[in-house]
Amino acid sequence: MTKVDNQVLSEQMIQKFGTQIISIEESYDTLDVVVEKAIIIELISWLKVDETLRFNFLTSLCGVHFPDQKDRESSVVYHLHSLTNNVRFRIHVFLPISNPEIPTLTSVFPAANWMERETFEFYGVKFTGHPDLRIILNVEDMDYHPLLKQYPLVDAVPEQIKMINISDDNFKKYHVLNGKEQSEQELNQYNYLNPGPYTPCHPWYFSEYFKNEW
Amino acid sequence: MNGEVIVDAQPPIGYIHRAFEKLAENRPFYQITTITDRLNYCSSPINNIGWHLTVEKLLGVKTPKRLDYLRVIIMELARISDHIICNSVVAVDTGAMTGFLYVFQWREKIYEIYEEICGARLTTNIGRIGGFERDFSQKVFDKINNLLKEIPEALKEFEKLVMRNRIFMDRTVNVGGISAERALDYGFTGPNLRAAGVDYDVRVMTPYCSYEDFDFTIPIGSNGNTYDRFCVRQEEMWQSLSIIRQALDKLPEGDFHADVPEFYLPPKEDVYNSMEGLIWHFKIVMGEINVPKGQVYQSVEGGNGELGFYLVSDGGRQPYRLHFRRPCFIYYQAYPEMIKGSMLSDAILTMSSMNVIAGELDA
Repeated sequence: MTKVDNQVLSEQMIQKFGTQIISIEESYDTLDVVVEKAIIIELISWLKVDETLRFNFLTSLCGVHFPDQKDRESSVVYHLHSLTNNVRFRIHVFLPISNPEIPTLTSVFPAANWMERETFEFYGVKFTGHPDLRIILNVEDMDYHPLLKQYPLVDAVPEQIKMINISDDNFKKYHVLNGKEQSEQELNQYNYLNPGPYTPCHPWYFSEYFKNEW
Repeated sequence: MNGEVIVDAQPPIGYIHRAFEKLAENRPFYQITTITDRLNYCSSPINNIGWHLTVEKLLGVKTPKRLDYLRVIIMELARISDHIICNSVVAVDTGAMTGFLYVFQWREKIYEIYEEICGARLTTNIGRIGGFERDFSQKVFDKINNLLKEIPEALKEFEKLVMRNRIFMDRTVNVGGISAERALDYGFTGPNLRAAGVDYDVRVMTPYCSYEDFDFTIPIGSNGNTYDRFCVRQEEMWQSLSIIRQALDKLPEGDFHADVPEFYLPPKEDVYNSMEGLIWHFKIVMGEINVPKGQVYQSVEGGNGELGFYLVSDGGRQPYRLHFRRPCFIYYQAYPEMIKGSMLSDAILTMSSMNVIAGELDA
């Protein structure tokens, strides 16, 4: 049996998929392979079952955001590991931020389930066909994707919260005091106290309002 | 639930999510060590050193042997303390409180060793990028030697109490099992995967920190059930002890940090008394040193499995993107499948034997 290394791997992939492999680079002894979105599932399931390659372990799956690259802003990175050959490599898929859709990997690796949910939550990448694509770590009705680069790491105070795109309806929804909705004028007599960690992912409406008096 | 039998389960997670990946994008490299502390807080030195190794890989730093061996000693101590917590808590969940009290004092002793090295106990923040901040004192070695002398007795006592105990075996054998194939599909790593019968260990597969110099075996189980996980962890502690002994025996003389003045903070005497020291200190703290662009993935064998760091650097003082591969987060999704059809009280045992650490689960 031939020993599988980076060279063999890249040759086999190019032989099988040809021009749909956009680029292959090697850095720090690891291959970085950029592929078309269309073949990603076919590629990974082939890598998994192929007799010689046997990439049978999905190490991790995550997103990266590159706001400066036009039409390929979002990227999804798959780390694959062949336990039999002990070779690791990365697959990158670039997607436009306007429509970040990619087929789900859950049919090949069940482990991808939560990793894809996490990626969806952080980067808004929609995995089509995913059995249960919901937010996993943050509160369920968070309607933005905090790890996108346009959201700065800020203290969670109301002015800045407005900046990070919570829609007006939501804003009003949570300005409720003693079970009664408050106008902005009424709210001004209260101080805003955030007891939690100061991160953009922090559900700021857990915070409480206190009267100005103290 | 159907009576006491579990029909279906849904794990809701995220209660201590702290947005570490976002935080890490806004911090200089050397300040991220404190974030990694809080991933698997039962064995934070492994996380710290894993992060240091990641940055060192990006920079292409060559580490001296002595540093590697010292790191191995610390990481194996951390592994022992991690497994002590897990295994004794499994015993507690079956109703055996005594064993827990017997071995927990040894975890305390291990924390005292950390304290001697870096001043902290739980969230250790041990070492720096490039090495340790100071060499281990004689007191540290004394404490480690003491521990090596005394801990085998405690572990043996614990095993005598629990391992062949009728009640314990009735509760754990054939409970919460998973096949090797499913475990691989679900991305299991560490003791949980090895209990299912796959001998995957990052220390052997992709050695870091000169792990190839040490002679140790990878214990594996056969059914991946709670009892197997318990036994694998127990055996790993013995292996860790043997690794520490070997490291102490072979510990070479030399530097305790790599020669990278651009990234390794100089000792305070140098900062106050020499020009170079002051300049490097200033440059490192103010982040005026260029980091190479690139992407690296470095993984270490954490207490629960493969702890990976995927670092994308754009040359700035902070990482462009840092993704933690947290073993708990990945294998916890198999939990519903593992407890389906079993009793509720077994579900508790299964969870504690999987060693789900909330800090790592939610990052």
